[in-house]
Amino acid sequence: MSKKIIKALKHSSWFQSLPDEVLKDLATKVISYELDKDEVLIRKNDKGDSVFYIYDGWVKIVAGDALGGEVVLNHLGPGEFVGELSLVDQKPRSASVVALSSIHALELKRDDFINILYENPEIALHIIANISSRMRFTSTYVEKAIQWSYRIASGDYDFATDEIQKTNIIDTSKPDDVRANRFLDAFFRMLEGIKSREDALKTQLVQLTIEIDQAKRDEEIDSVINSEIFQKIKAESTQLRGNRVKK
Amino acid sequence: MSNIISIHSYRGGTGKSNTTANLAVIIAQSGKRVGVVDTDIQSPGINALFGLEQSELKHSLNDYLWGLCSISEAAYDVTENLIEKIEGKIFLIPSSLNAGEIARVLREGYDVGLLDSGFQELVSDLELDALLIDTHPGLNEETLLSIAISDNVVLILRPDQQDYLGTSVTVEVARKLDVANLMLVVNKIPDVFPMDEVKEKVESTYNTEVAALMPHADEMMILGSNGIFVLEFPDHPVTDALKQLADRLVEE
Repeated sequence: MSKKIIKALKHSSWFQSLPDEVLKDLATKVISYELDKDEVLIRKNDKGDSVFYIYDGWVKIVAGDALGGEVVLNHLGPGEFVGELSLVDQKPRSASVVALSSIHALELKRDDFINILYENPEIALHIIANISSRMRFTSTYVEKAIQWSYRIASGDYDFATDEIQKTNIIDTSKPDDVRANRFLDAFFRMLEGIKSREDALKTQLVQLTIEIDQAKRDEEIDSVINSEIFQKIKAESTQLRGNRVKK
Repeated sequence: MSNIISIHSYRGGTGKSNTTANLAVIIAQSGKRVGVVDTDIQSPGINALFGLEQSELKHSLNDYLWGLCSISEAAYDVTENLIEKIEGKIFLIPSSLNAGEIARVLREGYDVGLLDSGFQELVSDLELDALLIDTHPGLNEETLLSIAISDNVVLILRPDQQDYLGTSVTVEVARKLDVANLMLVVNKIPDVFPMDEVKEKVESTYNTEVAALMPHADEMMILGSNGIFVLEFPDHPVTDALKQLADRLVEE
């Protein structure tokens, strides 16, 4: 088992440069998890005092929506770290992590991580590089989202088709591409939702609705047909019409 | 046998007078003799459409109802006032535009029974093929009488929440009066509504035939009761709808 763990750590961007004896030591400190599909790796609001390394399988990062439903924020796959921000800020978990398939993951506690960091400060550079890459990715799409939001606000929805084609990312083996796809998918799904709701409202506006208060109607009919005038006209009308026919 | 047609709406502002006047012209264009009675004594107005001024009126419907003249003496041949020569004849029996006379009607009332005998007299004296009655909105006595004695009752409504309940009440009351032919006309339809959808919805709501659907027309507003629409705008969709309605009314 530990050989497998050492091999896995050797493939990670954070630890690949560590000497074998450090990796061996590290392998004794990590906790290994094998989860089935839909099992929970991290629960939202739990204490954040460790990082997870996914070395086999895929997980989804999920948050709850206002209605108690599930919103998938991201997918992460082999070679990726999850929960690494807790190592720095020690804040409770901001989202849950659930297995999308059978997964193998390794957990490294904060205290062990800090010790390794003290002894092997070059690791810090890899971690910074890793986080920077995510930040660059994030800021690219934040900028796009801002631009597109302005266009949506001005009622311009036509750009979506062009942008979907331009930014169509299909390399599902790259975690960043998968993330980008998820973002684009969510964004354009929102756009479609807005557009179809708007269209539905438009059709509602032009659909004729005829509402009649039946109780009020019956009351008004009664007051007319029970009136003396109505009774008189009703009684005479047959005769009146009959006279005309004779003429 | 002459054809008595009441044009009615539960509320004012539905285009009742315009519809009446235009129907009269279309029917008369085919060579028929048509009478138009303005029984909207409280708020008369159809005379303006036929270019008849108050000063030209020696007698009105009011005088007849007060026993001051025969009804034929209150009938005016307005055929020559039209911008176009037509084959038939149009006789208008206007209500008085005189404020004092309107007030007197409101104050003293009149014998509604006289209206019916007046209609009979008109039909025989003027040898009318059709008599159109422009009624007062609502369901007052003269309206009920007009509905009761008519061969055809045209009930106009707009696609407007204000019109729905009253129209429903009127349809039911007309049914109780055993009206031979009751039909609805939807007027002033904004162009955002698909016509077939309006027809279907109105017919299913009132369980009554919709005989014409008339789109909202800016031209009607611009004309502003200063003439007969079908003569001014012979190719307009509103003209088509009115012709269709006239055909439906005279076929009976």
